[in-house]
Amino acid sequence: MTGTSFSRRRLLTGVTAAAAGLALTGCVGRREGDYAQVSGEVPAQFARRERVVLWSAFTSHNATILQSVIDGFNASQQDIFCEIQLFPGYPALDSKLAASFALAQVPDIVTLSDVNWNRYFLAETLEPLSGYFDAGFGPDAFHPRFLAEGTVRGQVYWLPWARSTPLFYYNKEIFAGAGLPDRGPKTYTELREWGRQLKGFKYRGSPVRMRGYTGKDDWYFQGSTWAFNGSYSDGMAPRLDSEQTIAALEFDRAFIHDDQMAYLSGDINADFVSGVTATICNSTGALASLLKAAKFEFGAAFLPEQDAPGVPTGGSGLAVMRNSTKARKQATWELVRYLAETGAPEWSLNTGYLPVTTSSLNSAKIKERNTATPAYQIAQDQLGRARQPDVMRRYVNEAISELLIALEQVYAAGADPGEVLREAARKLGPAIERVQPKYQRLVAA
Amino acid sequence: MFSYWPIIENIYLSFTTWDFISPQADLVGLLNYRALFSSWAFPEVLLRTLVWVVVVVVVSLVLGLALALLFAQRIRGTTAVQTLAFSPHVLSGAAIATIWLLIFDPHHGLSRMVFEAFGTSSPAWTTDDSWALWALIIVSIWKGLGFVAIVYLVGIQQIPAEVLEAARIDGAGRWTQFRRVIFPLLSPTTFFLVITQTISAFQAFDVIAMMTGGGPAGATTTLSWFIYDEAFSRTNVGVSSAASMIMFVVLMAITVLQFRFVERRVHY
Repeated sequence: MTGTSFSRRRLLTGVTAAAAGLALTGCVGRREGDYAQVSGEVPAQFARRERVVLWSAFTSHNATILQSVIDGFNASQQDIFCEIQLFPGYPALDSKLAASFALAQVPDIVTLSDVNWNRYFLAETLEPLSGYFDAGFGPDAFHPRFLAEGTVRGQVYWLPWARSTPLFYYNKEIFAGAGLPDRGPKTYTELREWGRQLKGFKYRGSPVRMRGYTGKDDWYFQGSTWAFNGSYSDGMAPRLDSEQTIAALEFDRAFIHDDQMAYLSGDINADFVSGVTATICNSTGALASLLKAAKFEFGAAFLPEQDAPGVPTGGSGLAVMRNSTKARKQATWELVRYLAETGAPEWSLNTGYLPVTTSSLNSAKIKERNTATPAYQIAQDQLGRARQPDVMRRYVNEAISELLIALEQVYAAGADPGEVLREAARKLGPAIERVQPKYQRLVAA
Repeated sequence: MFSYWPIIENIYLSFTTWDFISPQADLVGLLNYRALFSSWAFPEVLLRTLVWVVVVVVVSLVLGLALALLFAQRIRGTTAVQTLAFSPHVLSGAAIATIWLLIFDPHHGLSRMVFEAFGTSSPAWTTDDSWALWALIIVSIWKGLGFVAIVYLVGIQQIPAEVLEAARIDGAGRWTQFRRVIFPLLSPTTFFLVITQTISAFQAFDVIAMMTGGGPAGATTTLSWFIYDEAFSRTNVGVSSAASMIMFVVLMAITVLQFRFVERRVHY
């Protein structure tokens, strides 16, 4: 018995001492300076080159296209070898990148989503890039609209690469069968009216609903809040509980639970290509895979308006890690230059992501593709009415998580939109307070 | 170093606020623990985890024991069935989740066919908040059932034949043999399975990650998913570490209680 209590006391003392030691030395956190490069494999023929590691969140088809672009870079010169390391999506890459800072071992360039890069920016881990441009390769190599989204206080931190907006996709066979016009609805009200018209219609023997909602992405809801003249926030001040934002979610609730013509889908793409739902809102980046999978003709249109247009930009861009060494950063810039000048058209052409560089905007092949498949041109045309998501969605990590819970409470359980949005705004209060000092210091005008 | 240092670091982190990438973690005392217990969401997560663990462990043990008793009959083809029953245990959680997502698909899956045969439509298993937890519980039980059955079968095979023979001579029927002889003699096996299955159920993660991501609306957020979500989606490392400590303490307490009180009823 004595032995047991002695051991316990010793253990507790040890734990307390270790915790106190940690606190005093401050060994939890990120140290400054140059970090090591993440490990990987370099083929023998590239062993003498400067190695650049690109962390990519693209999978399957898009991963193959990116590899083809990078193979082109590796073959185009003798000094640099770029190695792609793949992650299954942005959240997986984000987790691993965060962990890499704790280990002081980072990649050199990363595909960061439009809502993830901001947190790395606030943590001062991204390399300012404006100084790397020169007379031969200037900021005009990029689409100015998208370049501005990665620019803070005149300094570029995040370069456009796989950028997108949501489009409205509709099954033309279902629309024709139900007597609906061959176009997207002008307003959300019209969409709902069309939903009522579709009631009772069967496609390939099964009943069809008008819209499948996803509970895994609040991006589309960001757009519809603007369409109803609402928003997530005004600067950092939450507007989730505004009358207009609540009206946007109330529309979804009524469409799903009163009309029973929309529903929460486990996989909107699968449901659309199998004819379970007549329409979906999905990224322009999904266009290529939808064209491949759908066994029917479908149309693409601008997102519906209501009181105003509501189109958020999204997708991802490229960011260079500040803690990479000077030599690696310079080599990474050569890669960036190749991607912008040479790789971007191939990337945009084969993935369906929007053309975001001068090289791809001027690409004859992309223009031909847009003529042959007008949906691509519609995606480009819609850009004129798009804007980047609200500040709170971009800078407060918890915002998306809280919004997804709120949306699913309404979509799945028919909860009161006002209540869930007010609750989300309340819960986000402490998170906003945490981010405010850094935001004010580094971003706010 | 690899076992205890992470625990010590986790204890420290639970008293800080940190987002993984900021230069340093700021000490905030007991704030994370207070935040957890003052929110309405965390007690709900604990309750949901309790339901998950109790149902998964109890049903796995009952069905696993029934399956083991069936295997012990040595009916023709038993070996093949044993192998099949054990296979989910060695499959990856991702593969299992993919298979069950197809089965549960209310539009095209096996579930639709089954429910339509009874003249009704399939529930939206993974997108309806009243069904989602039960969908995952079914998958979790299916995943662990083979392992429980095989462990019980080994226990049954170790019961001396003469003990069962003596019971039969004394006039004990099948039910009495099970209740008075087999089940008590399986108590070390049951004890082992209760502890391992409880810990495993508490730590269940892969199936949740693949099938529901803790949704819809948090309906399948158990403690393990909560810890992940706080750390990697919300980047609240401090809150996540505090929740990890609570999980650690709960598991320690359950294990100690089981050793103190349940082990007394175990006959070695």
